[in-house]
This record gives sequence, structure tokens and C-alpha cells, in this order.
Amino acid sequence: MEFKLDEDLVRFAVDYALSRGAKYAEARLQRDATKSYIIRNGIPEAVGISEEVGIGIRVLVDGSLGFASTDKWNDKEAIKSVIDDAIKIAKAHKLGDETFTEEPSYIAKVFIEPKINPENIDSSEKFNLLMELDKTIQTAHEKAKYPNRFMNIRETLMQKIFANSDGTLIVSATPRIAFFVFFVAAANGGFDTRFIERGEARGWEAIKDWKLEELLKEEAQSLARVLIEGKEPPEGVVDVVLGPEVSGLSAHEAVGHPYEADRILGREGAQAGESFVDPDMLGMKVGNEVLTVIDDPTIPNSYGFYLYDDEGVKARPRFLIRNGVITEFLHNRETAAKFGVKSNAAARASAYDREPIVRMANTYILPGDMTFDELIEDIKLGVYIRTFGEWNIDDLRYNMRFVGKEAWLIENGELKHLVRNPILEITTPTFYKSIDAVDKNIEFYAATCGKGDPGQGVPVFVGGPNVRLRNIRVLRR
Amino acid sequence: MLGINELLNLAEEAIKAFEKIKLDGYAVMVTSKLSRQVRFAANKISVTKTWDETNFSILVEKNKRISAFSVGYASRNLIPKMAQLAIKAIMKAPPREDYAPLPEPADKYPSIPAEMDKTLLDQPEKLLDLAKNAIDTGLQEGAKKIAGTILAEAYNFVLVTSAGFRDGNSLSNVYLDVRAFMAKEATGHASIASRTVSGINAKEVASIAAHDAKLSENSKTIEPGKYNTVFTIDATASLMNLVGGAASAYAVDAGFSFFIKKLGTQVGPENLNVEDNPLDSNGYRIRNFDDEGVPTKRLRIIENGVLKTYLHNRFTAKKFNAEHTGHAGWVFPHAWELTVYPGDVAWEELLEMIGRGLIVSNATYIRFQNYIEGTFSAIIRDGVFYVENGEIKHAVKGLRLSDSMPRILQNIIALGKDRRQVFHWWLEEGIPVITPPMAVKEVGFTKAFA
Repeated sequence: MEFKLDEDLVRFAVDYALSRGAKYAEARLQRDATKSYIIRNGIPEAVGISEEVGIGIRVLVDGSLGFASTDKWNDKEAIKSVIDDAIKIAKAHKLGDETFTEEPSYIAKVFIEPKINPENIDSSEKFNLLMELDKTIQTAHEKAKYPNRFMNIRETLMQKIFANSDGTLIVSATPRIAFFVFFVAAANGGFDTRFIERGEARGWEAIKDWKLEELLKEEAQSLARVLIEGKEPPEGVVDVVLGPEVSGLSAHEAVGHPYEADRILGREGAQAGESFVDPDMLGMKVGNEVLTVIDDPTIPNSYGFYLYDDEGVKARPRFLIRNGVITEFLHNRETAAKFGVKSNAAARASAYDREPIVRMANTYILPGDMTFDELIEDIKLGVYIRTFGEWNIDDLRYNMRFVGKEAWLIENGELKHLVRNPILEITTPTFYKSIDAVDKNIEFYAATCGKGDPGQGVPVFVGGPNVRLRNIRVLRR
Repeated sequence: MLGINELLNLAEEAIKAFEKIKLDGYAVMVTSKLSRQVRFAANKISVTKTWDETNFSILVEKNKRISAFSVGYASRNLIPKMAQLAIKAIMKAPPREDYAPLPEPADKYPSIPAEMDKTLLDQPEKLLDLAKNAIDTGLQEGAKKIAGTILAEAYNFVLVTSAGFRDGNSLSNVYLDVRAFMAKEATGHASIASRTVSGINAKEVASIAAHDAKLSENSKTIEPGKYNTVFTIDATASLMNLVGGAASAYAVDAGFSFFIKKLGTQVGPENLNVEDNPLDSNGYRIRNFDDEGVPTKRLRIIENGVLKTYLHNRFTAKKFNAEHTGHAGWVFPHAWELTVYPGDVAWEELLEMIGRGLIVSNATYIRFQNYIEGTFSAIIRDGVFYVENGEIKHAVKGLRLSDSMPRILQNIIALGKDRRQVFHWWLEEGIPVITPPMAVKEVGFTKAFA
């Protein structure tokens, strides 16, 4: 059966759940159609096509939350069967005291139209592009070899129709396109590896705008130059400037995640973890005036774009930190009820078979008005980390680490030479307290954020300008 | 859930759609699965979930070109159109140099040592009981908060290939993952996996988690540097996942592996033996044929410390001029279920062997700086303890595991004798592991600047 954004099925599911005793019910019929074009070491490997369609239903019954899904989305008996199952199990555990916030109801349609539909681009053009890009990497640097290369173009169309028992009905269609590359550089007797990802909620026009040939040439040259020219970084306490790729990641990992209210409440305690942030930290000063961190799902064409979340709440920018002060956490209707606030539309589900949980969308540090030269001009000794390789952060989001990939020694206000693998291992409070300036050169990067159990990878942007941190310890590998 | 015969009929129906496009080869896998999950946090059940899914995974081949597509049960009428699209999309690309046809079925397959545990279908309340048991045990053992996950899957699946393979199996699996809290930084964790609900010992893992959480109170900071270290069963399972991932010939070919050019070399001490075994009767991931219809087998990846083989599908076997090892996944070869051979050393002896050192109970968020060198760091949590003369002196906070996998494998001093099967979705490579704990000398640890 061809997929149709048919409201009858979601209304049927909601009504049936209510008739079986649910106090609240929501249903989301979702289709994710994906095409991937993969080449490895210059040879087209495969085309991958997937068509994931199904209906996910969430019920609140006797204070307990149940979720069920089926891919037999056009079979009302199958829908009834999983709803019955969800309600039976939710009733059986009799431990719940869950409530949801009351929110306005909406009836809306959000359709994003690509300028160039990837369906209209012949697959040979896509493979030719990837093979040309592969050659670009291989010939990027005369003193380097690139023995392993892997590339993928992924096109997705996500269509959803959502209804809940409050009367909300949202219909949406969001195209996304992404490019992913991994390559190994061999030079000067050593090896190094690099991942790069680009993605937007657009059509094929994004591929052209990303200027991939230029990007890959620069990045492949950069990796070779690090191997050939990179020297030991300074070790000890110095000033550090982080490029947008790194500052954006820090905003996502060390502000966005710990400000997720479900983490703060311990709901993700099993594995994803809790948060070093407590509810009473709202209003606390955690950084300099120059530090503002925003999570905004409404940025047009962004990889994490949406206008209504997966609980039917209308999206808006969330100012997590404004001028150095914590102003807001990320909420869905479940966590907002516990905090006594309204949801700020952070509920997202990665597919029809996943429950909506608190997620980020596009998290970034607000740029300032300085130039990059002004940012580094008074640094006597420091390190500029433009890109990163290894990174991780503990489950409380308190103790983070980034290892530079392309990084430079800053000496007397100038970039002097490349350095290899400078390590920034630092606590979150110290990191944000140490930012004293940001420049105006904001950039956004696509990423896939993982959370939940079973895992839910959702598309996000991470972004920021170049940021300067004073008196930070840098380690060598 | 649909039965094996129904799934075979569905596969045959799908194959009829290929007649018009004259394929050189195809493989159709149809899986029907019922999954249930109970999640708990802060001492109560937070959500229960049920999934009902029937999915087609289809590989089509023509003139040495390959496309793969997947579609759900309700959209199966799209299969003819998707097959045409999939072939059309790949035909303008050059042929694969590593192409090898789907293998002929073997004369004999190992017998499946087990079947589906129907408790998962008929008695979902038993999963609630496991959750309650874990919460109650953890609290009785003195923890303040318990969180965790139970995920149970019962499934039928079939594979039909153009080379003549046609078979299916009926299986199940369950895991329980428990985390105990005394405070934000005083936590413990353990997990257990099994084919059956009855194989899940909630008391055992909840007790370990609560015990480690209590021991983690009043933690102290110590200097970063090199420490002899005992990795618990759970932490060893996390690291051995990386071994399974690096052994895939695909990872080797794509540059994702620290085993590149290491075949036949000593990658660990003589007492290190790591096997892939999808035929264990209580295994979390049992298979007697792979996704190309090749028989699976017990296969020693590391024997007496020597890397004996990579894991191959038909393409990598051709490219590496090696034998197919029965590890074809849908896209790339992978390990099914790792077994690390136990040593003969009791837990207490492991602690004594390291002298002054650390116990690491959980390693997560593992990220490589350089895949080929295997340099990485990992978050360590849920019980990091400083040990002297075989005794735990105090809990440790603020350290990060920062080393390389080749060095850790080479530096294994001893393997414990007690084993447990571990699986949870946070394992980096998604490979179930049956492993003992291990002691490793001079492991690198770093510390955050504050």
C-alpha cells in the first residue's frame, strides 16, 4: 500500500486508546524513506534503499506510561492489538505517577520543499561525484597517500502525521540530505584518520553549496600536513582558541545534554546517565557575559529542523545560557510537568518505533563581533584547535575531552606551525568560565546525536564561532 | 508474530517480483519480531514498550553490481518497484572489483542449539517481575536509587538466496542492565544477557551494581599516569567489543581497524584466546548460517595471543584471498558473539597480582583518535577503585582511560576464571561477549583540568 498522510489512522489509534482507559493518547504515523550511495576506496559498493513506515502510540494510563508500535500501520486490528498490549502492561506495573503538562492544541501542516529533488538527479551523477571526490582526496598532497577512503551520500524524506487526545493534528514532510566521508592519510611514516559530515534539511542544492571538492582537498591536505609538519604542542597552562567545529561540539555535549530535563531528573540514569546540573541551578552564572548558548529547532534548512515537536508542541528557540547565566532547560511534557513549567518542545523520536524523549535540535554558541585576528592578537603562547578527532564526556557531562586534529601553535598573536594531537581535558564549569571572547565567524556542522535505549539517532546541528579560553591546561599524547 | 512457513512464503512472493528484471542474484531475509522493554529509573518503572515488526531485507545483484533495500510488512507491495529502482540506481556505476557470487548452500549446517523462549510472548509480566526484583535487590543491598533496562526480543527469520539457500530459525534474547546510585558520582553497574528470561539473574547484577555504588562513596582523586588495572567483566566486555570490530575484514579494508597488517602476529599474551561462537545454547545471538547462507562455526580469532583470522564475507574473502568464515552480515562481515577464554585466576588473586593499581568497572563512550594506531580514550565510571596489596583502599574519581588497544592487549597479565554474558546497546560494536575479568599492566589514565 502506498503511504498516505491519512489522519484517519492516527485518530483511530488515539480514540481506541482512550476507549481502552488511557487518560492521554498520541499516535504518530511516520515514514522514513532513505537512499544511500556508498563508495569505498574509489569503487561504488552499493545503493541502499530503505522504507520504514509504521505507527507509534503512547498512552498514559493509571499514571503509567506505555509505548507501542507496529509496522502493520494500515491494519487496524494490528494497531488495536499493540495498544491493548501497551495498556495491559502499563496497568500491570501500578507504580506510575506520571502526568503531562497541558499545552495548546494545534492543527498545522509543515512541508519543506527541496529546490532540487534528489530523486530527479540520476544515480550516475551521484556516483560520478563521489568518484571525483575520491580522486580529489587521493591527489590532495604530493607527499601523502590516502590508502582508505569511504564516502556516502544519504537522502531521506521523513513524513509524519501526529494526533493526540488534546485535539492536535500536525502533518509534516522534511527532506534531508547528508554527506559523510572517512579517510586515512599516510605520510612521514605515520597514519592519521579523519571523519567529516555535512547535512541539512534541504534537497540536492545543498550538495552544491557545500563545495565538497574544495572541502575535501583542504581537509586531506590538512591531515597530511599535520603528519608531515606537526610538532609537539606546548604542554601546560596556555590560552586556547577553539574553532567552530570544536566550540559547537562543546555546546552540544556540555550544555545541551546536561540541560536535558530527563537527565536532570534521572530518567536516563540507566546508561546515558544523569547530569551534573541540578534544578536549582537555573539563574546561576556559569560564564562570562559573552557566552550565550541557544538550541533552536526553527533555523530554516538546519539538520535538526522542526516547527512542532513529537508531542505536538510548537517549537521556539531555547536560550540555555544567556550572557553567562543559565536561563532554561530542555523539556518535553513529562519533564515540564515535574518542573512545574511548560514544555519547550524538545520531544523528538527518531522513528515511528521510538518514544519521544527530550532532545536537542540545533545547539550553538552565539557569535560576537570580533575578528579571528583580534581573538588571537594578545595571545603570547597558545594553541588553536580547528578540528578534532577523539572526544568524549562523562555521563554527568562534567568531565570532557577533545583531541585536536588540525591544531596550531599560537605565538605572539600569530599562528606559527601545526601541532599534533593537543589534548584538552577539562571540567565543564572550568571550560565555560574560561571563555572570555568569541569571534563573529559562526559555522554549523551536521551531526547525529545518540541517546535513549534503544538508541535514537537524531539529526542535529552543532555550531559556534571561534572561542577563546584563557589559562587552560593542554596535554600531549 | 508470523511463523517460519509464513515468512518463507512471503520471501517467495517477493522473489517472484524479480523475474521481470532478470537478476544475477538475490538474497531475501524476512524477520518477524515481537520486542518488549521495561525501563526503570529512580526506583520505579518509567515506561514499558512493545514493538511488533515484520521486515524484509533484500539484496539484488546484476552484472557484479549490488543494491540493498529494506521495507516493512505493510509496504511489501512496493518490493517490485523498489527492486527496479535499486537495480536502476546501481547499473550506471562501474562493477565491483571484489564481486563474488552468493555462495552455494553447504552440505551440512551446525544444528541450532536452542529455540525461542515463548515466555517473552506469553508472559510479559515476568519482565516486570525482573525489573521489580532488580529494584528491590538494589535497595535492599543499600543503594539509594536504581535505574535500568530490560529488553527482550522473540523473533522468527528466514533467508532465501538465489544460490539455493532456504532456511529459517526461531530464537529469542533478553538483557538486563542495572545501574545503582548512592550519589551522582557514586554509582555501580552490571549487566547480563541470555537467550531466555530464566537465564537473567536480576539479583546477581543488581547486587554487583549496589555493592559498587556503595564502595564508590567518599571517592578521592589520585594522580593520573600508568596503573596496573583489573577490568571487571563488564569493562572487559566493552574493550573486547573493539577487538570484535577490528577483526572484521571490512574494518581492515576501510581503515577502521587496529589489526591492519597484524594477521599472524602476536597481538596479546599466550593466554589470550578470543573466539567467535554463535552456537552457544545460551548465546544472546545464536546463528547457524550467516546472511549469505554460509554455515557459521566456532572460530578462534585470537589463539594463544596470535591474531589468526579476519572475519569474512564473500567479498572480503575474495579481496583478501581468504576463506569465507561465515560472518556475512547484510552489508559487511561482523562477529556474532565473542567468547573470551577464562584463565584460572580468582578475583582476589587478580587484585593481588596488580600490587598497587586500579579496578575499572565500566568503560563507555570509547572514541578513537587514530583507528589504525588504536589510540583512544574512554569514560570510566560505576566503580573505579584504588587497590593495594589485593585490597580496595578507596574509590577514585575524575580519571579517564587513555591508552591504545594494541598496548592493552599486549599488556594483559591474567584472565579471571568467572565469566558472564554481557550485552547492552551501549557496547560500541553491538557484539554480545562472554568474558572473564582481566588484569592489565601499566594502563594509561588522564585527568581533567579543573
